[in-house]
Amino acid sequence: MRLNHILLLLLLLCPPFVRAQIQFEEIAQRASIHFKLENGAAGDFHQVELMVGGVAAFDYNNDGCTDIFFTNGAALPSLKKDSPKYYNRLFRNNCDGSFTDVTEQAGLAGEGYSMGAAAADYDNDGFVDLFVTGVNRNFLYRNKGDGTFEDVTEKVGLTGVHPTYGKMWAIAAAWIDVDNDGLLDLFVTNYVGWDPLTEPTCGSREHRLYCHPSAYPGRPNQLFRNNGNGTFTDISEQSGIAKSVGKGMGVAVADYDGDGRTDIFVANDSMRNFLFHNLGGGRFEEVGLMAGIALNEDGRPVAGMGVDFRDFDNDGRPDVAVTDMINDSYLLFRNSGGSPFFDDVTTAFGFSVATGRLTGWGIGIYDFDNDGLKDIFSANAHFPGLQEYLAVPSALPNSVFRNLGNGVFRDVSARAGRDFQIPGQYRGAAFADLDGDGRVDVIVTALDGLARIYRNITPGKAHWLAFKLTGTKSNRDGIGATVSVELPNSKTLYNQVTTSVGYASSSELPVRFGMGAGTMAKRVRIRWPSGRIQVLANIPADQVLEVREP
Amino acid sequence: MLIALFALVLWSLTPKAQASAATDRVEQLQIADSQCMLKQFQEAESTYKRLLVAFPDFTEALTGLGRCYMTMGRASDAVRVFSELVRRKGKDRQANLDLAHALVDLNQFSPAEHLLKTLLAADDRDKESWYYLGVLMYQNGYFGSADADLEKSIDPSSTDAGRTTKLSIYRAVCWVHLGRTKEAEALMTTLAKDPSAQKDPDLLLVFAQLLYETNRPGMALQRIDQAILARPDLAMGYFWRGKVLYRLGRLHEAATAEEKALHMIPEFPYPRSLLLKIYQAQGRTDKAAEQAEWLHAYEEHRNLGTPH
Repeated sequence: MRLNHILLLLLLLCPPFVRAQIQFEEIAQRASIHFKLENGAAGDFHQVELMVGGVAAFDYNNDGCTDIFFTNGAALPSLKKDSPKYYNRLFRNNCDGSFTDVTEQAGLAGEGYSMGAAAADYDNDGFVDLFVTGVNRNFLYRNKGDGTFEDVTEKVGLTGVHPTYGKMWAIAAAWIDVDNDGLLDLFVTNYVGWDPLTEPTCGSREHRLYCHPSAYPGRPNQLFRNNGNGTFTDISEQSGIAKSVGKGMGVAVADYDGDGRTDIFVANDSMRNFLFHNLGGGRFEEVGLMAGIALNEDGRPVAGMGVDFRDFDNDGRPDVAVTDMINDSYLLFRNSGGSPFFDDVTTAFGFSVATGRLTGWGIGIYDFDNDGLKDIFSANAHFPGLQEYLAVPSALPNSVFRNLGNGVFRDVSARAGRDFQIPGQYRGAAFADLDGDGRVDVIVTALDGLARIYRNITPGKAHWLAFKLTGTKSNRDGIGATVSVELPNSKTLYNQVTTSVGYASSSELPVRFGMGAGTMAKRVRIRWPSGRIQVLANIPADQVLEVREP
Repeated sequence: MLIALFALVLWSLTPKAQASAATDRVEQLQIADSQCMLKQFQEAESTYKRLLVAFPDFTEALTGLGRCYMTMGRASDAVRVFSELVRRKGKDRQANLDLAHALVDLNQFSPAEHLLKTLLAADDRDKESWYYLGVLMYQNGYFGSADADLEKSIDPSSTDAGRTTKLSIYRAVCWVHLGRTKEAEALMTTLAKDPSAQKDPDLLLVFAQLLYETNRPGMALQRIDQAILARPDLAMGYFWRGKVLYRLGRLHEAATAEEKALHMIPEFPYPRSLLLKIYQAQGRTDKAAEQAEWLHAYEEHRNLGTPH
């Protein structure tokens, strides 16, 4: 038999892996998830009304199925949840495609005007806890392990009241082990100084508008060290974090320089972005400008909203994607490891044209078609009140950009299914495999609208692999661990464990890999935050593998 | 002496004297207008002001002074003068339009928008108002409504070729921002051949931006070089040149272009941001650190927002 005949036969027997079109269907109603995001707007154009809508995807009852927690607003100007419509909501995943609202029994209805959520097991007891950011006050809910949560905010010292500025308006938070001591510390982004009674008025008498962020003073972010005894200490000053005053929105964490210490990226609104380089010993230096990541390609700050800090080009170095406001494209920074560390590849990767007319909030770099290349999802909406000027509605459909693997992200939203075209005032987005089929689903909140659950129904037989890590010396969730998966064709995929993704939101803990045609991982390498390296071999695909730190 | 003065006052009260004064003030106004046209601005301003002292109710002189201020690029003075004119003439369309024009020039968004929309509520066929409203929206990055407003301002019977060209340029820029890239490119290609448009910085640089954003940096560079040739005083042209060269990996030339932009406008932050990256890539860390330091200081001096 001639060689080309053999090749043809092989081709017929083993068809090459064909990438499928990313597809979503919206299942919120079918799954019994009825959640409306209420911002309490009553025509007074309070700035807080714009920024609500964080969501968390986490497994609170350890049944292996990811549950969903939505934050919610409050009445204005009282900032009180004076009606159940303002309650935060926890939906338990029944592991059968349906969810049950368990807010009241879990004790998570909340207080005040909530903004964002960050989930992680801060006390290493095996149950994921929940931190909720908000206006003037934050809350830490400790998971008691019996389906209920306890408000321990005061006890642990996390109300967020600043020694100089007083009450803060926090947007997002990230659980991060800054000193690799096995205890998760907490980073909180603070937006601006704001008071409903002294809210400036903007626009004209005939046409009120929400004010530009320049109408409000900036605020420093905060870092709280986990003392390991159930309390936290504010180390914002001694860590160097407090030196940088910004208008913090989304936060994401990753070790960008491979030194084994997790760094922090903060998207600022209409100010340069911050990159806090972890120097070790609980100290940080803000290096955004020198790292080439503070400004856009034109040297201008953008209205940064959401961020994900993840390796989108599979070179082993975490990259950054940021959502922002119309006329400024969403930003893509590729970590080249050079000088500067990051290259702005927004234009080169096709994002200038694809996103220049969008305003974005939540964002996530995930491999939605499991082809081994991470794609990008963004939750979109223009600011309300600008319809007349932009000549388009403020409600927009969300976007999904497929990674073509050749340095281009292509907007494939229009072909992502009929449900995906539904416009909304979308805000926070969380990413998780809700139905255990190996495909990453998306939960998105919508201002003055119902939350959407986009079930990933991308066709095809692409394989996948996920790891749920349990730290022993490292923090129990393994947050900060980096994982690489070598495929049989020697291609290597990279990812890291984090829950801080997008805008004011928190995504599932398991770290995921799309493997395309690969049915097995030849080699898996885990670098734990403790510094330990763990290597696994010949791991079959299509499973969530639980790995314990040796 | 006193007798002579008394006689002069008496004469000035006669009908003949008043007619003569009226003729005189019209002539003086014509002189002022000519001085302004000939860019003899100081003289023109003095003549207008003298006229207004002598004839405080002479609103035509106010109009002339305001328009001359606009020609001089002193839009805030023009706003003051036109506001006075509107106070005196009430709903007079032209006076309001002059004021709106000055407000647009100053980019006073809310009052300009309010005034123009009031004028359009009275007459929605008022193409002049649509034009200024379109320009206001354009200046503020509201390209969707800018394009719609500018479209409504199109006047096929207009003999103002300059205005017609500018309108087309604005619309082409809007289309770039609205993602109508093919239409924008076609219109820009046509406009680039028009001698009256060739030196327009909006056209020159946005055409380059379009080419750059659609991954044609080489062609963008050609456009930028044409722009610099046409407008060697355009610091933004050098900034763009450096930006494209940096993307093309031509670091030395990129640095030269950015340094030139900076030399032209030392307080221009954009070239510094790019120079920071270029110097880092060249291994000139001290020079890079200088730029970072400047940018940090620049940010600290900017208003981060004040409490209300």
